[in-house]
Amino acid sequence: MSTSEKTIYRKPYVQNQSASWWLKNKFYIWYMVREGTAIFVFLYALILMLGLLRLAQGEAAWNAWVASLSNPAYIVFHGIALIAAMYHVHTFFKMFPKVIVIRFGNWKMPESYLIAGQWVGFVVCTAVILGIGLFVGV
Amino acid sequence: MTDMTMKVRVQRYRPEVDEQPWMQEFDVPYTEDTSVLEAIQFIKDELEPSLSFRWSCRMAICGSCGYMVNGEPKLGCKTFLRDYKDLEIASLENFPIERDLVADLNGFIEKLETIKPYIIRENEKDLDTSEPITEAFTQTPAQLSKYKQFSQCINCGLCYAACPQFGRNPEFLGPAALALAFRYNSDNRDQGSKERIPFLNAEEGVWSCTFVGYCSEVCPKSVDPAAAINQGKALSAADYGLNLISLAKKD
Repeated sequence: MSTSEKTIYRKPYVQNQSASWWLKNKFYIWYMVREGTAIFVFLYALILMLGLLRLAQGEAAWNAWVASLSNPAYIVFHGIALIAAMYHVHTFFKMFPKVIVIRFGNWKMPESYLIAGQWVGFVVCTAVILGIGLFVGV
Repeated sequence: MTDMTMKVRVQRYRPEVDEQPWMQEFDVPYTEDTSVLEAIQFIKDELEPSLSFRWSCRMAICGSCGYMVNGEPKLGCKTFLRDYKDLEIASLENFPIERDLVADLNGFIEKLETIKPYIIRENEKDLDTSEPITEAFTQTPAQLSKYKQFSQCINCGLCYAACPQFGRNPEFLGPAALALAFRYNSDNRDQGSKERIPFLNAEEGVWSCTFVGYCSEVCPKSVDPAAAINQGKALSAADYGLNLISLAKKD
């Protein structure tokens, strides 16, 4: 920032960002919620890694870990983590068309097509993975 | 005409006497079509002649009358009293306050210049500048449509007032400058991408953006700078990858 030497009264007031900037409007709050979903995904990943560790330790350790998951606190956490992950998916799908633009000549694919396409992909992948888990894997 | 009046609180900051900004309240008469800019003009003309603010065209083209209106970055000429119950008008967020509603936009203007916002040709240096340019660079409507939206910016600064990353780090090139860089990089007549890519790649470039997206929300010209920046990330990532395998075009 340049300061003029001619005018002695020039004294720009610098507006520093306060720690509570994100409480100023709803848009920022939802942004923080979106970013905050990472905490639940992180914790979920930790639990999953713990499961892998238990699996490596043998059948008894694995069974004990699976049994511990029926603890109501774990179930509530997984419910919250699922909601958080789904909200993140929703925001990701919504932002995707802004980054990936598909054009054919003058025609630009509408954002709604890209969002719908992602949801279709999501449902198909979920069904396949669930199908493998329920009928093939176990 | 009706006899409606509205309480309008206006931020004051007089550098010669004030240590920090403060709010002054006025009763402003208004009608269905009174804009925020007209309300401020009424205050200056009738109630408080010392009030300072920028304005010019009154029709959302010049980009001068950006203020915070009830905490949201808005153009004064494009915002109407009829949509509010009361009003609080302040200088644009994140910018230093010069006086009252006048923000110091010098840093912003410098950022716009930094990213070389003009068409650059590869053989420019070899051109004989004493001769008139005889070559024309054609552009089809399809080529125009790739960047047209990003060329609609009026440099009002609302997106910077909306950007918490710029608020946190004033060195961040910010929405308008990065959208402008993307606009020229996407122009088929331009060959200057490699001169702009270092600015995109830098810490203050596209990677400082966390896609909050509020810049695009407040943009009065629907430029969608968040889209431009995040498409710029794709360019920057591609450049990084090409550099890794030493395929990037060198001078």
